Amino acid sequence: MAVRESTVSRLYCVGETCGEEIIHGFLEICSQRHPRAYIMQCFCADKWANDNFEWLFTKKRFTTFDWVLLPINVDNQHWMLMVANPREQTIAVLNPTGATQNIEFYLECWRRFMRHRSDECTEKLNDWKQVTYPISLQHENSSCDVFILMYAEAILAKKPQVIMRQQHVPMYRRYIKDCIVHNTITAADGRCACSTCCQPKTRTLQWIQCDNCDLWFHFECVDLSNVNLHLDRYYCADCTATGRMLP
Amino acid sequence: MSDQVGQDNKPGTDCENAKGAGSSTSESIKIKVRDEAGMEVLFRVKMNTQMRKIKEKYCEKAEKNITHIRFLFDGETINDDTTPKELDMEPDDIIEVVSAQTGGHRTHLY
Repeated sequence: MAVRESTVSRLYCVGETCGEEIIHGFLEICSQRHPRAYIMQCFCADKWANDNFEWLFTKKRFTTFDWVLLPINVDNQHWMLMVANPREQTIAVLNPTGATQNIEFYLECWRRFMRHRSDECTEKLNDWKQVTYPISLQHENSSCDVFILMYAEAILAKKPQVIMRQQHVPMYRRYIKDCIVHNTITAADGRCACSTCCQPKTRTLQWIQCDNCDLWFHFECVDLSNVNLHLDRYYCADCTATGRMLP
Repeated sequence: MSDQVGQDNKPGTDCENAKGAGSSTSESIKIKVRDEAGMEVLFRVKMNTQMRKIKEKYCEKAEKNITHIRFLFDGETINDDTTPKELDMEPDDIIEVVSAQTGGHRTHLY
């Protein structure tokens, strides 16, 4: 997702609110750096709150991901992070303030969403267990955005979420900005998601994207002999192996 | 309300989406753009029209600020440079328009 420059520059301003463009821009970068996470759009939580379960993501195989993350926006004032582990079927809502009054509501939304989803697709994940993660809390009013991104990156990078604390917020804010700015510059070069990238030097690079995890691969790095491109679907080796989802 | 969005696209470069290459993109489909209040705007678009154009046209018609809205299809945001073809859109599919969200300036306790 492209993030506008004017949006990015607001990150430096103390007391400015942080829009979902930044939240999702950074989460997307994190999920590219630490693969096997699916980021759901924050708008889903609003839909659920309004009893709307139209979006069911039936083309995705949640169990091919280590994590499903959903930033939750509350009244255009506050950010929380929902963290689901589809293989273990655990679910948590991380609230940077430490308050718990909204958490049960969103957990119930998630369970209802997953029940609707099970009705519509072959992936039946209905038995979700609530878990908690140790997190450090925000000590002032305007850093929930940074905190949920710190939690998200820590989770994806398999680091404890308590490493980052309030005092790290200004530094992390700059880091988020740098990541987004840098990523926009280098996005055209792209990075191949395979672990043994052969870094092809041909004049016209050809890329293919996995239809499940959305990661990009060089043509040269993936075995396309078994893939029928006319089917318009390609699933990478990891998704095929973990999801039994051959087209 | 319906509108015609013209087609004005460069063919994708080689490093772009390989899935979309090689097939016909000249057919057009009718899609709906629906906002949070349920108001719909109908568009007939070519399969290879960039979503940016549809978004711009929609904002013009619905008098909305392009920086304050997001286009979503099946729960995923739509990038400006994708096309209905890349999104596997079918006739009468609905694009949902939502308002941008923000947070980090609490006046209440959450």
